[in-house]
Amino acid sequence: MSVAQPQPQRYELQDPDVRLMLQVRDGGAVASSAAFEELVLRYQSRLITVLEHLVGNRELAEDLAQEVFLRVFRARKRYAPEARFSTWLFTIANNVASNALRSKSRRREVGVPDKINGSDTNPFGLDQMAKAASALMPTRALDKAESAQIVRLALEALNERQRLALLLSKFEGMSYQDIAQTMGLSVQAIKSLLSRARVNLERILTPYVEEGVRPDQAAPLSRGDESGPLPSESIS
Amino acid sequence: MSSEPALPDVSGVDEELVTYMDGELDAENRFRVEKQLAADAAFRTRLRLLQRTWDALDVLGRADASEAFTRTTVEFVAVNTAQDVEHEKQRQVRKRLWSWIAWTACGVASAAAGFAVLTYVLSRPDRQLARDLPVIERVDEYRNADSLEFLKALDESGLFAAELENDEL
Repeated sequence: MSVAQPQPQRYELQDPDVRLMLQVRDGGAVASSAAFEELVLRYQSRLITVLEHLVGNRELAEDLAQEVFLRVFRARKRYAPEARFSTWLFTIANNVASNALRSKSRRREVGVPDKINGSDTNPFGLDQMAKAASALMPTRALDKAESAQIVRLALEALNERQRLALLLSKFEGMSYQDIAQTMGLSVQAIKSLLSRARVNLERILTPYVEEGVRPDQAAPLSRGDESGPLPSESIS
Repeated sequence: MSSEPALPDVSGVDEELVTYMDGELDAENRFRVEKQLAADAAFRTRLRLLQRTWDALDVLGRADASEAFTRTTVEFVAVNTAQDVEHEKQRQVRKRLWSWIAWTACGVASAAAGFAVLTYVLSRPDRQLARDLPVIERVDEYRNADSLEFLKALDESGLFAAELENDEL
């Protein structure tokens, strides 16, 4: 199984946002400010979307987005168009969010407990989902807000890297190549990361969707179960 | 960031299906997966489950940043950039000050070293003259002697001992 590899590109020709960033870098004070404001307008919602789902908090996501834009502006003189602008921006966002999550985990007294033994999924995250579900699901008819909460909790049960890869793929529609560049990993590593993320998410959400079984009532996932029952092993 | 921790294995089937759904398979493998999907009901079920999970993420929604956010962000960046410029100016001033102090210290040290060397060099002939003064004072007398060995012999014989004592008194 192989993944198609993209060819080297002249990003300033293909990506209008790269051209805007070059204007931020090379333009005069007025042109530079105008180009930067345009980039903020184009990317603020996209950035907040990914950051909000990554850190699980809208207010923190907005603060981090502002920090990302500040870093973009500070780095303007060193900017070189070696990737799509969005890839460069989300690389900075990844660093900013990682730092924030590290600080948050150091400060955290309550909340979603940390992963146990480096497991991909978080059994306590499932417990928390169950508590939320028991409070929110008098019947199986989940409204959109409830569904969003369940999915959000399921997302929080993934580790940080799986979550970021998943969000970049889902909300930014990034290719494996771009996600790899953003996260500083190989394309093969991203392929594995996304597969694990999707399979783990499926295992967490399927009991809710199909049977209404709360995770605390279901048999807990063991590490051995994480590879899951396979419909077919004929393809490798 | 580049090292992958050991994680539980995900089946090759799931990995291939996810890669297929993401449109990242090359043509040959895509064709093979589609052929397998057409022939294998369990394979299709697995794809549907993964696709349903993927679609479930749609419920999370997308943020819609306000105009106020744009304005505050631009202002935030402007204020921080102005502070950066101010800090840079102060850093440059400090750098220039330290540079001036360093160059001044170097100048003073060089001047002192130069003065010391010069003084030493210039004082050398005088010191030589001072050391040779007893000889210079009696150079005429020494010229009358034919050889140094003869003078040493006279000195050792004690011939001039009384005369020297009288001179000292």
